[in-house]
Amino acid sequence: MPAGSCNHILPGQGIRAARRIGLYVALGSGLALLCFWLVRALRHGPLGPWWSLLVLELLVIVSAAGVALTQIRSKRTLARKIYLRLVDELPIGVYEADAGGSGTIRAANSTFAAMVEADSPDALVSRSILELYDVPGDRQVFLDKLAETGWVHREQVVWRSLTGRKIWVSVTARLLRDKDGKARMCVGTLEDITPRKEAENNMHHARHEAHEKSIALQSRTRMLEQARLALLNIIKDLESKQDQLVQAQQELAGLNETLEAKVAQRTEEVYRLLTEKEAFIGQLGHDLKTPLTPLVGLLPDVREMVTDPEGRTMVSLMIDNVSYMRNLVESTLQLARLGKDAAGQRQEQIDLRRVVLAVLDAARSTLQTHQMDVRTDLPDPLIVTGDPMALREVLHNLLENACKYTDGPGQISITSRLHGGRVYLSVRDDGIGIHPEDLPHLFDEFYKVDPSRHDRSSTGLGLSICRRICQQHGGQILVESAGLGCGTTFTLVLACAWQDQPHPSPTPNEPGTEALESAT
Amino acid sequence: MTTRVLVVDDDPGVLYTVGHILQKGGFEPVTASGGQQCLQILREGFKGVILMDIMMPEMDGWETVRRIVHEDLIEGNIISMLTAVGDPGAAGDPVADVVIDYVRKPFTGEELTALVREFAGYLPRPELDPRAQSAE
Repeated sequence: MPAGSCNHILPGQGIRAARRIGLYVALGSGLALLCFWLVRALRHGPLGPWWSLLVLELLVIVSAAGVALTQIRSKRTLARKIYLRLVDELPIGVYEADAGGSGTIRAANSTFAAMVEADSPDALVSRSILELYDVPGDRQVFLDKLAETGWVHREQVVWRSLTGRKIWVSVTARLLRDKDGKARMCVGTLEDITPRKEAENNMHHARHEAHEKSIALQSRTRMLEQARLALLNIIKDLESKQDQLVQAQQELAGLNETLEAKVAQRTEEVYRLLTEKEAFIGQLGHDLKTPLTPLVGLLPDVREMVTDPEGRTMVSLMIDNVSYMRNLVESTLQLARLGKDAAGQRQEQIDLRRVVLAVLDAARSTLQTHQMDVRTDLPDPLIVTGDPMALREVLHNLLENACKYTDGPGQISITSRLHGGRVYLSVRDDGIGIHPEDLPHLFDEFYKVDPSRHDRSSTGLGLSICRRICQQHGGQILVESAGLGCGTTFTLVLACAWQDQPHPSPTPNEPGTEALESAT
Repeated sequence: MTTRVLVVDDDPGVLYTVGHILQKGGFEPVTASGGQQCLQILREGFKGVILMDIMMPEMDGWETVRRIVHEDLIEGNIISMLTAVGDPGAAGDPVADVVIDYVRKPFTGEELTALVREFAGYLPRPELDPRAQSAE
């Protein structure tokens, strides 16, 4: 409490001070008169009638002194009350206790009572302060310190309230001693620090938790770091693999380039060889045919010039063989030429019917010799895409075969049909037919049905040439025969150039016999 | 007057054979063993059928035909090539247009005679047709 505010707490103090001064003046003046009267009585003898005055004066003095004493006592009582109220209203606990080991409380303020949950300060009186201690060790420390140094300063201890609640208290206590140094009593102040302690505890817990979390975090961080390192290793590994891949790709690209270069080189080589082959075939043809020319041209005349029958037979034999050689050379060279790509071949739209008629016209004498009757049933026109000379050769070959393999008078029918954008041109004879075993080999080079016959009229290449020509036209050639003595049908399959050309009448005797494709 | 046929070939056997066949067929053969000799004969005024071998050393058949055209000696002559190779090899060359046909070696007497007779028919003087002459 501030010192200046005392005036307000004790009202009317100024009036009482004036009264006190008056009292002291009256008392002083009474004592002065008394002294005067005493001195006069000693000098002049008995006072006589003045004694009454003296007694009156004595009475005034005594009453004034009584008044003064009463006032002093009431003032002291008031101060005591103020002190007690102040103490009671302090925000900290205050108590007085016995100084002995008992610690019995003599007085306590309301804050103390509230702190330990007592009904009133009076409820604490005659209880021991020591019984409030929760921890015996704390109690002993308190007593020891007090006994040793005479005071305890802000000792933080745990108490149990009267209802059993645990509270934290900061205790300050002092022993008050008398003149002889003997402990008279113990006074102390108490501060409830439970909220602070709880806050501290919470903070401690929080700090502990934070610490634990920090440890967990550190561990997590370490794990993450390890994972990161592992990841880095993987990335490094991947990068190295990628490098290897790129390198392999480059090597592959290099290899590819080399390969392409090699392929190009080989292709060039192949083309060069093909060109060389063409040149070789040309040269071979020239070198074979030129010496054959005098033989072919002159031997018939030589035969005429020979008169001896045996000589004529010999020359005839020569003519046969030379003729065979000529056919063989021409067929072989033609087959070799057909082996190359079709680039050199003429591809134009031609009327196949006209080609057939031209071939028939050219072969008229042969057909007459063999007594062959030819019937054609072809649409006009029959347009296909191809090389007319080559197709003419195919048809010529087929007609020759029909003549060659028909004994005596026979019949050849040439018909066509359209199917699936293709022209099927059939040449059918009623000749000796073909054995089923021979059919698969009929188009093979140098294949002869009866090799033992030494047939000089056949090279065994005619049908191979036909097949090559058909292949170069993107088509094929088929053969059918029901067997020996049952005739033979060859069918050319060619791309039809005009889809809307007149549809030919269906082929009579649609093949129900074995059919073989020459090639695919 | 018989139709004259100029045979140009470097092979003596062919020359002899063709000469023999033509003579027998009623033609008057003239032989040349190379392009230069052929040109010389033409410059001297030969008119008739020319059978020209293609593969010849020094000057081949096509080159000789080119010279004939160049020297304007084609007038009154019919040229056919004699070839022993399968592919004549001058397709697309403008000089091939002045050639009437290709006679492929080897050939029989009848084949050659028939062909030359056909060629002679294209000569500008029909009165020289050997058939007409042989009919006399």
